[in-house]
Amino acid sequence: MKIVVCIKQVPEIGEARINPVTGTLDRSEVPLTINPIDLHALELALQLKEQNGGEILVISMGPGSAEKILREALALGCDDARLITGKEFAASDTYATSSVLAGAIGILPAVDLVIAGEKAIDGDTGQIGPEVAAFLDLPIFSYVIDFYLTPNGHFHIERLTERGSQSVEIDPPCVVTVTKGINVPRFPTLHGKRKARQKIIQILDASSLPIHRERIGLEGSPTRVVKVENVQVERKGIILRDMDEVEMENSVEVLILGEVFEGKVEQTTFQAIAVGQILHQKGIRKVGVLLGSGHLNDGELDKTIHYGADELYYLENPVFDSLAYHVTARLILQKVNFLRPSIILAAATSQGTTLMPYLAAKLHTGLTADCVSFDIDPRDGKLLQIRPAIGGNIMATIKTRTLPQMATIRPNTFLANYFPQHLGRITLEKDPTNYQTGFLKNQLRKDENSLDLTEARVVCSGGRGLKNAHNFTLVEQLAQNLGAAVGASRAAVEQGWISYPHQVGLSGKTVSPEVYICAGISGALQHLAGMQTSGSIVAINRDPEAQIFRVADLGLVGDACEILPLIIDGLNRRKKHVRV
Amino acid sequence: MSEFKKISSQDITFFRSVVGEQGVTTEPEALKNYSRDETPDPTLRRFPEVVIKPHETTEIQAIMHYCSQNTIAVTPRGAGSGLSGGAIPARGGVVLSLERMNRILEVDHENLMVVVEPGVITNEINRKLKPYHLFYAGYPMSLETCQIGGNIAENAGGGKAVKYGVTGTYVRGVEFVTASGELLKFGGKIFKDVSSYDIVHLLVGSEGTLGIVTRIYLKVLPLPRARAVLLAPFDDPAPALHLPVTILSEMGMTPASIEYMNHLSLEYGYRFSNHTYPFPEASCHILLEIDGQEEEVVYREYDCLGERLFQEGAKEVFVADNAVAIEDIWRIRRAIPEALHLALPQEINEDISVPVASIPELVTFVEHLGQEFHLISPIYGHLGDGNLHITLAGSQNDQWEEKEPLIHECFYSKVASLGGVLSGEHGVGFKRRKYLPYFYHPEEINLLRRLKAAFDPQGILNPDKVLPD
Repeated sequence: MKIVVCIKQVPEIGEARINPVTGTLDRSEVPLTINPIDLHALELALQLKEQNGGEILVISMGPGSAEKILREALALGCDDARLITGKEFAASDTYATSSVLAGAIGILPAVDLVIAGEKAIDGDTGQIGPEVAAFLDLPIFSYVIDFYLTPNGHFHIERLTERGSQSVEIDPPCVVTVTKGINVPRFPTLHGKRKARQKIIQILDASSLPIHRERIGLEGSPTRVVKVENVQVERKGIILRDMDEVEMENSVEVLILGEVFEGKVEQTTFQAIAVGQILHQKGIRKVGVLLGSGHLNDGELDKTIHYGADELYYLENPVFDSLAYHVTARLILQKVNFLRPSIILAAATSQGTTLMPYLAAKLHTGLTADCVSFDIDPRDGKLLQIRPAIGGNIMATIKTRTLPQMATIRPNTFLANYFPQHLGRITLEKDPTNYQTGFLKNQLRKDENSLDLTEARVVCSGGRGLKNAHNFTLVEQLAQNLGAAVGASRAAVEQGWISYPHQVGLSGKTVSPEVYICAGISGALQHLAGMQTSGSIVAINRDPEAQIFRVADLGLVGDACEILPLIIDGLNRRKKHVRV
Repeated sequence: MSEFKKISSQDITFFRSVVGEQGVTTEPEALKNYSRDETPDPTLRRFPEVVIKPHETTEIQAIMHYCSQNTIAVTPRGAGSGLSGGAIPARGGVVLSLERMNRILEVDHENLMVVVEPGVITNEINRKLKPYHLFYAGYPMSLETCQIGGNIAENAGGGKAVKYGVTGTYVRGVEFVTASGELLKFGGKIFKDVSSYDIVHLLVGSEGTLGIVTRIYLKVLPLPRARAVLLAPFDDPAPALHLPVTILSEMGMTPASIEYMNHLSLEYGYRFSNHTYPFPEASCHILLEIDGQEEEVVYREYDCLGERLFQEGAKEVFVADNAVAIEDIWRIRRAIPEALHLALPQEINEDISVPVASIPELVTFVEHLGQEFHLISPIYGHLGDGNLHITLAGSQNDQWEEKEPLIHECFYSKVASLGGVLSGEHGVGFKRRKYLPYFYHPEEINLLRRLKAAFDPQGILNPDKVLPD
């Protein structure tokens, strides 16, 4: 088996700084290391090689110093490494980076599998994997939690979704992005380190790759960071792939890609439509919504209109339910090429964060991940896409120079609005074609137990004040008692007390439950931004001057480790009471 | 034993007039937080009558003056993460919590000094220093909780003492408030000082019994640009336990850390942290950390050390030289103490320190002791500086109270006979004071008493600590 692993050099956690002039990451003076999730990608490759034989090539695009992380991969047992480096690649966005990586992979003979980490801790977009897949025309499986080669030589892939999991069997080749839960990375050995020092790492520059010069580096990047904090940056407004203004007249201006689960339109789709309506108030003419599904319950189309869709397109075909994004992307592309929207938006769900980069690469346009705010630039009518960057410490405003302008929206940041009087036009297309997904097996499992943090009515969160992993279980006990979901501050996640999907805040999830209970969380701005829209906030903290009390409706001053057992005990006693 | 005045409402009114309403607490629930430290023993709990949180040195002076006039017991307190009961108000009275005295007053990069208040979280100092490419090397293991004032009180050590020494190595000056409320200063931003008795280092490790440190002058070092951690599992613990001699003496090398974890201690660590080292069945694991200014130099050192580990019987040598992997290895080591406290509430948790060459003999002795008394004995800790953490827990709970004094006697007699000491870095505090006579002659303890009396004639500062009754 021939495996390619894409890895990235990133600043150590908490060390990232932004260059105020270019708006890109300043990598000088900051200690650099391998992106932590990439270690899991390497581990998967190594395990597959150990079990089935083969060869692992690891590639990275970055400055010369990235050679160090490639040597680390070689020390772990990878066979060969290539570094794509050169000034011409500097400041590439995800589109430009993916096109280069795909170019480097594309010239290799007979690659069976491309593996990448789910996302990098610095850029935090998760777009490279899907975009590379799109450029290589390969199926993409994101958020992979289990992967092995079956005795028949098929890939067995299990991936996580908001609603549970999907397991697929497929023939090679394909692209996967892995999550932290897939395995435990090994440590390199002394002998591995010694061997890695002897190896020659092939250096590739722009001239050694079959890539378009105009598609790389800052110039080739369709997206631009136009504002970081309060620093305004001069912008060269060159549009690479212009759209005909007249053609746009006859179409929707903003197209929302919706999601359907078990016949129902997802709440996150309605939130995305609300963003469309916000843009409508700023002068965007029409909000279009595109839904694709094998079946839709009665009333769902009307409901979607009432949430603010002006033009609703519904494509009915079972392939949408298979989550075969390499196929559904083709159907959506046809529609997009017909409608020619200037803006495409989708919720940043597991589907949105996989499908949108795939589409963006195919449309040769930029994509901004996980936006929390939008605006229209009054000077040129362009979409301003605002997202947290660098672990949520700063806000970056991003503009796309190409069309369509694409962005994903962080779930639960915007409120879905129901307008009973809203009118819109529905276009139905039932497509009888039996599309080939290449999936030999495809099973979707619904996980009833996994209470989704972003949809829970009550969330109990814990932070650094709990002091250790054992005390953190108090939060879990309380949550269990209340039927609540468990959240955590970044500090608690970094300490390893709970996994990343539970992180609340700018660098994690935004939640808006009816009740938010937080224990031992001081209330750093980056956390507050992720929960301040909650109905009622109950805060437990030792420090009466902690920031969390500024947003709390009910504050308990004291040690969470002492107070939580009392609350849990009280709840237990009340329950017994009720039973008697 | 001195008699202390109980706190009256008049006293409270005075304290409030000094530090304000917010800075004085008498709520029972709040007092509970100050009745203990991280020592698991449930008998080591004492409630203060009032908790005072001053902002300023002048407030501490006023409080101490008042308490000495009225013979009120005062127990200074940092973050409460100590392991000897040092911050427990053994005789009630006032707990003086220094958590609000948390200012980093000055980073003097020219003189390589930092001036801080006692309530600064130790890790904050390093966060503040990082942009200057400097670091404070005396930090102990509980990175995110402990405060520098508490570190000074216990002369905390930690994982890098082999190369960098302990807290006291870096304390170059202190300002402190005496029991009667005077503000004194000794030392400063200087490296050398024999201009009087070494009062600075008398305060360091005095567990809050001699004075209340309000300002600290710390020496800092250039931040090492390169780090690497080696992890080596061993089947035979003998050569592993001999490694301090092998590395420090025979090879003439000085790693930052030489840590030891026996199989049993790791079992608890694995369960607690949900992570496992490779070769979990090995009888022990050794962790070495090497740091320096140049990657190549660090590489040559770990290459050389790694080769020697193989010669000494290591089953494999793993290398972590990036921040992610280094943290992955340390995380399990750091999880062990908490894991043990939770799993073995009835335990003897020791912090002895012995000459490094005597470690193999001590560990063999602990094994025999364990067999004799049917003990569970996880052993881990700072092998490279002779400061091992030895836990002795009863496997049959029923006779524990009977057996415990006997076990202590056997154990301490052995440590003393090897030339070892009662505590390496946790301090004597409340928990170990009755064992002091195993290690000192009566005349020696007498000197300690006279010293205490010179600083605090009424004995109001942290009473019932360090010295036996």
